[in-house]
Amino acid sequence: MADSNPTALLRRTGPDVADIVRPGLSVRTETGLGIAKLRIFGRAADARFQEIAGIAPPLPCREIGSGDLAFAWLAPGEWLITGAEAAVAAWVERATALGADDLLAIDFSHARTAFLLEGESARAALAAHCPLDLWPDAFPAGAAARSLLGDTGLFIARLADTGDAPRFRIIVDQTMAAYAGRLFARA
Amino acid sequence: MLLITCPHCGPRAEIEYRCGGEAHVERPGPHDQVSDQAWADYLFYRANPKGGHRERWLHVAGCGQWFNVARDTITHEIAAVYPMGETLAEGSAA
Ligand SMILES: [Zn+2]
Repeated sequence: MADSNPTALLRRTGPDVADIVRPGLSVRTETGLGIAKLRIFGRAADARFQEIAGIAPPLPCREIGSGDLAFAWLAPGEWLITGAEAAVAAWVERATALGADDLLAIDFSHARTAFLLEGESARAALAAHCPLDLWPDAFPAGAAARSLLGDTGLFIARLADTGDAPRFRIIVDQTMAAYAGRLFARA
Repeated sequence: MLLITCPHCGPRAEIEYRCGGEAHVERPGPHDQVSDQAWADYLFYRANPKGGHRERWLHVAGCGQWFNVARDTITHEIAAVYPMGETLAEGSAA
């Protein structure tokens, strides 16, 4: 992205969390990930989602890919959109340009920090601080949820496995990124 | 720790929730005709039963939605989870 992109500039002021790489676990900050939220108000939110996004919405507790973007269910009428910064920004701009008063699309990439966790110990590292059941029956690839990570909230999505090891994307408030990094450094 | 089944997210740990106290407490009105006694009842007095209870819970760390729970205050057994705005027929749950 060009330096004039305000989202990219804001992100640079964020905390610098050292990557953790050790046998069985790697925790890496994911740079350049655009993060946005879509809220649709009213009872027919899923049908409205389809009109706006051109695809059926993800089922509850699931994330689906569409083109360059991923759409994750967060709550009834609420979805998280992730992908390359420019693609997310363009999607938000297009949704906002509809001028509809029953929806809110907001890019908050600069307020969040994303990590990629992978390795055979990734579940154990998360389980030390997150109450979710992350075993494959309850949380297969494509699952997504909001929950807790220690004293803060997190969004977690299970991505496609790398080899035999699970891979997770987690997103926390940017102000809690250093805290999250410390949790994993000790997990 | 309780395992509470959110109607939207499924079973989740108690620490993801906040308990909103007794369910189905109705605000008396019109407000200028309510006695001090009835208003105090509404604001401060709750049934606090030993046994079957109906409570409101908020999935604060998850989907952010409110819902009702029928829970036994002695055994902690959850007999039913049902949406806001609905009631549970007498005898259908603890
Ligand atoms: Zn929920």
